[in-house]
Amino acid sequence: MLSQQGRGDEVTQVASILCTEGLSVAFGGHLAVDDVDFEVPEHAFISIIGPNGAGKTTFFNLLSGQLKPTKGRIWFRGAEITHLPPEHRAMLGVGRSFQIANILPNLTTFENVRLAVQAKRPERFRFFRHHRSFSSLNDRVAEILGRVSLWHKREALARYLTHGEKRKLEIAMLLAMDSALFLLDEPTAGMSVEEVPQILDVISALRDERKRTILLIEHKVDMVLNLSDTVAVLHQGRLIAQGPPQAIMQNELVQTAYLGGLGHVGAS
Amino acid sequence: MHRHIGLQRLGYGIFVAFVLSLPLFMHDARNQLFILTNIAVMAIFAMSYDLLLGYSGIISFGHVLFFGVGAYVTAIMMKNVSVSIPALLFVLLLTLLITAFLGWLIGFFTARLKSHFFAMFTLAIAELAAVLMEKAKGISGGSDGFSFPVPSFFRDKLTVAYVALISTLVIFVLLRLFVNSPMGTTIIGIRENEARMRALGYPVLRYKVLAVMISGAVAGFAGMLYGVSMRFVSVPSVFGINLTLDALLMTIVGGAGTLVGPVIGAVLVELVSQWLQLMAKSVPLLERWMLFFGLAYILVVLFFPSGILGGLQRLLILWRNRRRKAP
Repeated sequence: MLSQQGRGDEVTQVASILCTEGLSVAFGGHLAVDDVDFEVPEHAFISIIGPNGAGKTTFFNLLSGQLKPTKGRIWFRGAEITHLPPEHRAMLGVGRSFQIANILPNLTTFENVRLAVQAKRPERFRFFRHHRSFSSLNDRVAEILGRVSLWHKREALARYLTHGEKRKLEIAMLLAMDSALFLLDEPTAGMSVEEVPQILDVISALRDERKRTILLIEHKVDMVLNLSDTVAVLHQGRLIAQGPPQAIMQNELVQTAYLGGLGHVGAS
Repeated sequence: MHRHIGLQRLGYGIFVAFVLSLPLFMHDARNQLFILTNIAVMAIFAMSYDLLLGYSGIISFGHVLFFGVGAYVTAIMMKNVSVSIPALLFVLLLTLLITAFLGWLIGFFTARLKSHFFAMFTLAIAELAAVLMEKAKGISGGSDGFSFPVPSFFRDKLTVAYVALISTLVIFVLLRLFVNSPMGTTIIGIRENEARMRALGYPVLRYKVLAVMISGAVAGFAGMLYGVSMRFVSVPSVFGINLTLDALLMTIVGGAGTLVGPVIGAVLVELVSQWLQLMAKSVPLLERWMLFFGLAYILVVLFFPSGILGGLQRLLILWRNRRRKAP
């Protein structure tokens, strides 16, 4: 869909892949996401930052359908998806990784990724041939597991992976979905220092492909600065600022709300 | 690796030959063929239960509904319509259609429920069906039931035993192929983490309904086989909740989610119950043989939560590790 909404004096006209209007969700009396108008141009890389409890993950849950909004609407590629269940949104191209590793615990790493690959392939309807006999699926799984360096763990049950490996598996499953829109919820949270750069490499490679739109929730502000085209700041459920990384870091409102007046962060 | 598979195939071959030769060693004096047939029927029923419990993670307390429908469709058709092999084939088709449809109906309206609600709902439906059948004495014969003729081919106990054994093998192979297929593994994935599978794009409800349908059809087939081998049906014997509990016991004892487990469970439970009933003639305490099953059930759940197969697997791993550590 085309958007003519402008922020300030700049009027943009870009095809947006995702768009929300007045999106809100309340738990009891508490507004976890409050009247968010958000627009994501196709192939953009946008980071969402904000303090704990700002509603970032809740916002993702609304986008991918795990939660139903109390108010507002969501469009994906011009079609309204506000009331679609998560599986429909996934099929349309909204891919999601979870902050708390959300895997299939008693299946192998390989099988976790294979099921994610299979989800959109016609092979999913096959009910007679052995699931490991489809080289079209196996090759793709091998490629993805290699990319996040989990190939050596392919036969390990997912529940026996280390925390960092589970996070990698999350990303592998997201890659496997081959979605147009990636929602990455703190992909490096809880990873060991050695593991982080590799995942960052995977993410920046995705970014450089410019084939997908990526929304990233992240706490590590420096990482966000390097990768993002745009940074959006959520605070107490509200979208308080959005713009190029450097501008956001110098935004006074953002600094008081989120960075606690740390002027040097933008320079780090 | 290839040699390993070769050995495995040889092992399967020997096992199949052994099972198929079993009826030849049996003489009818002590009802051995009858017990063998019964084991096969219960093995099929328990495998169908395992598809729900072990593979889909769905707990049903009303599984006997499908069994009862299969048995009664056979009985009513044989008694009132026609006694012939073509009629029996028609019964087979009818049974599969009706039970699959029932599975769809139940699945569609209840599979969206959380597990324990689904369990309760299925229990309610099965009990309702049992009460209705009991009331419809004209059709069902109620508690007294009725006997009916079967085609002459199936009057021979040896033939029936063979049919039952071969059916067990065929259904085992078919179910095994299914659970290892892309579609079957999807169902396993749903057992593991339903929300995640939805986020991956799988319409979870549809797959669950499919599992209930397939499981129901197989259970219906078991009921049909029961009818053919018994030539008698009554409401308590094919709609009784104890049949569901038997299937549950066999699946848990043998090892849920393995398909072999329920077969082992069926053999064990049937043989032990026969033996206990025999012993009860000399040891009065054993008249309460159901009590021992209750006890065994508790012990298995406490100490072998993954059943005999799972327990053996664990012992094997322990043994291997110990051998590896030893110099």
